[in-house]
Amino acid sequence: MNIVHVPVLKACYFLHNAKIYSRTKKTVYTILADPESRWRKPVDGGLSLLVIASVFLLIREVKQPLNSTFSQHFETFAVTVFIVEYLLRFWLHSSAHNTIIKQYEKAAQLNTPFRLRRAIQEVLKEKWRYITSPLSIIDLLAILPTYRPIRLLRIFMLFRLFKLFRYTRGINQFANILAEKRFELYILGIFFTFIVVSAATAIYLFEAQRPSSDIQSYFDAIYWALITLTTVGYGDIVPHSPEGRVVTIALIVSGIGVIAFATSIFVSAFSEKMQRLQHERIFQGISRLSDYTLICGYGRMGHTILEELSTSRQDVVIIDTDNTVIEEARQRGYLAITGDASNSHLLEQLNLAQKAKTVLCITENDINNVYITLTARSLSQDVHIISRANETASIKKLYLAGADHVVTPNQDMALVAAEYVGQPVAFEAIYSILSGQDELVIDAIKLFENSVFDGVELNAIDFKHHQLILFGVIQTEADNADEQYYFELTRSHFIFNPHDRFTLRGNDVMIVFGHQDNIAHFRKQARRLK
Amino acid sequence: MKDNPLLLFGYSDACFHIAEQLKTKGWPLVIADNDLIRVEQAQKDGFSAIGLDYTQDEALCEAGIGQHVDCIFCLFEHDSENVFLTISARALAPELKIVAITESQEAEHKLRIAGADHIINPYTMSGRRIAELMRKPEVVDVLDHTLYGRYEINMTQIEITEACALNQKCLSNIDLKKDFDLILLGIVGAEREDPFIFSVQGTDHRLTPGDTLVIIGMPNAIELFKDHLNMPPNHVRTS
Repeated sequence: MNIVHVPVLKACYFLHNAKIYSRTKKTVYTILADPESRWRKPVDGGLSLLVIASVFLLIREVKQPLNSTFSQHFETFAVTVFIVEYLLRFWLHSSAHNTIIKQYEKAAQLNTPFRLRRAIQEVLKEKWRYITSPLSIIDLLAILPTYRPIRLLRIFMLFRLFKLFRYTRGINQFANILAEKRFELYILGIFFTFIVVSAATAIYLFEAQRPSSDIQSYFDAIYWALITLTTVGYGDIVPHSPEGRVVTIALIVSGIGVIAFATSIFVSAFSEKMQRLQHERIFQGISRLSDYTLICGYGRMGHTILEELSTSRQDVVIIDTDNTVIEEARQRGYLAITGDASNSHLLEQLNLAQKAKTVLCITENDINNVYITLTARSLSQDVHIISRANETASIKKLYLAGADHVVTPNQDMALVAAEYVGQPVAFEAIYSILSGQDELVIDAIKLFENSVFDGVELNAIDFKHHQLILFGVIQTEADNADEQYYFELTRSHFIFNPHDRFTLRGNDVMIVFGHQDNIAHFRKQARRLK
Repeated sequence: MKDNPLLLFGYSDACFHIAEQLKTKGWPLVIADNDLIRVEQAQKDGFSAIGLDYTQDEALCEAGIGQHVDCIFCLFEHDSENVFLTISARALAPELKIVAITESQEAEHKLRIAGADHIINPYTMSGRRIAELMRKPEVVDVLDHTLYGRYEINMTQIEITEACALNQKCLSNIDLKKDFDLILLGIVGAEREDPFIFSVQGTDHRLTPGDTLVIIGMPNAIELFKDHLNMPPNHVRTS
């Protein structure tokens, strides 16, 4: 092995193993380049402001020579920031030591001699790729205007403005839209050049020889053709001969055509893209949420649910196949997507497995609901799925598909109606408690492990004093199986109206009736630890 | 009251579900519809059904509205039909209990003006339930397994009469839990417009005839309690 190789490789492996180095690099990446980072907005905003301020100072300098020390210092500061930014991005772009290590290990594996020169070439190639990328060229050129002796460099101050490309998504999207219409713009360019050149040649032939003519050179002719074609028509150069005027007429007519063509290209490009942009923005908005509720199907039930949830500041995402209802939801300020919720690709895009807390399958079609339930369950085992069954026969299928709860509007309604006939008073009371319209509510109070109530008998708690009624207790462990009124729930069991000697345990859930303020107060007490 | 049949107008999807539910609870019921095909369908499904033109007041009178019918359901698919039926029935019988079903909030308001006592909007209800499920899943789970669905726990109302053992007693002196294993949720005063008095609300209340207790408990416990009150059994309505 070459004598130079050893220290270089040692240095590379040292960097590779140095935690502080990789951590620093990671931090710089988060601050400067990570699109998902929370630093994104302040960093981009600050750099944009710096760009704008420095450009403003450079413009002022054109007429009023820079004399205040402040502006000089500011310029130095801005350029320093730009240089540091450039160098940091250069550093971030690839990691040199990793490239060398990779080359070395590859060589070791293949049993070929390791060539440091090749490895360094590889490193340089990667860095060169960064230097020649359009955005970094702009960065570099933006630093140049500081070098005052060369006047032409002033024009590069414009590149500072181009730096804003880096910091704003909007401008990037604008550029992307134009890039997508490359073919049309290419056609337009050829068409345009053809007309300008032929009109300029014609006018040059007819007018250039006349001594009184405005057109003295071919450049004049091109300039005139462009001004006429774009329907700007300054009038500083006008044809004097009848032939020249004929050429002008032809040029004006074709000018209208060219402008119309250009406009149509841009309009269609933007209108096509607008929807996609909006779509993307919504997806970006969703990617920032966590623990959101996904509502599949936005109908009458969806409306009620959203009204109910509006007080609890729950993040909600709506999916429906009907574009008109999605528009309506968007106007109300919800994140809404037109699409098929049974499409697993769409649900994956929404990051259902990690980000969603609850999925509501409430379309009017049971087949869809089963399908969506199944799709959502296949993506995530933990997400809470509530589905709607329009037919009684679908209830079982929805549970099989993985729903945690199934709601049946028709059956619920029948239950309530039947209850009403028998006992209107009791019904009204319980209905108002359940719907939470009054301040009287039924609520669950969960005890923690080691709560003050852990191991306490019920007669030690004065519910009357708290103005609460204990409806029952949910327990996960079955050590109170002798209790008289004992109901199996899905994963636990419920003891109705337990007797006074009943002992509470940690993780029990008490179900109580009461005024919501009293419940909140009681809950605070129950949350205290021993 | 259980002797007089309930009248269910309009054999719709909703009607089918309600009729089934009422039937399992043992209420006598008659389905009425102006469409004879739907009447036939109802009979096929095992309900007693009659053809009846609800737009004619004479027909409604003949069916017993204003006489022995206490309660009707307006279950047509179109809100306009339900509103018309509600108005006609209300005009004939001011004391009649009218329950109507609608799927739109706008119609809810109209039905209320027309004189319906209770309006059920299945979508609003289920929507609320889902919101509740998200907020308090334990509560809904418990209620589904107890009060709703399987009827192991009953919720019942008991009216206080002159002869009743609890007459003139103070709310603070009644301990239904210790004596009867029941939960006393609250009381609705003799004047139905009074707000619901929650049993542990702090303010004391002396029971007078006409007051209605709302209690929750197991069926046998409720029966025991009723026996204790020495009330004639037909005074007590249970589900």
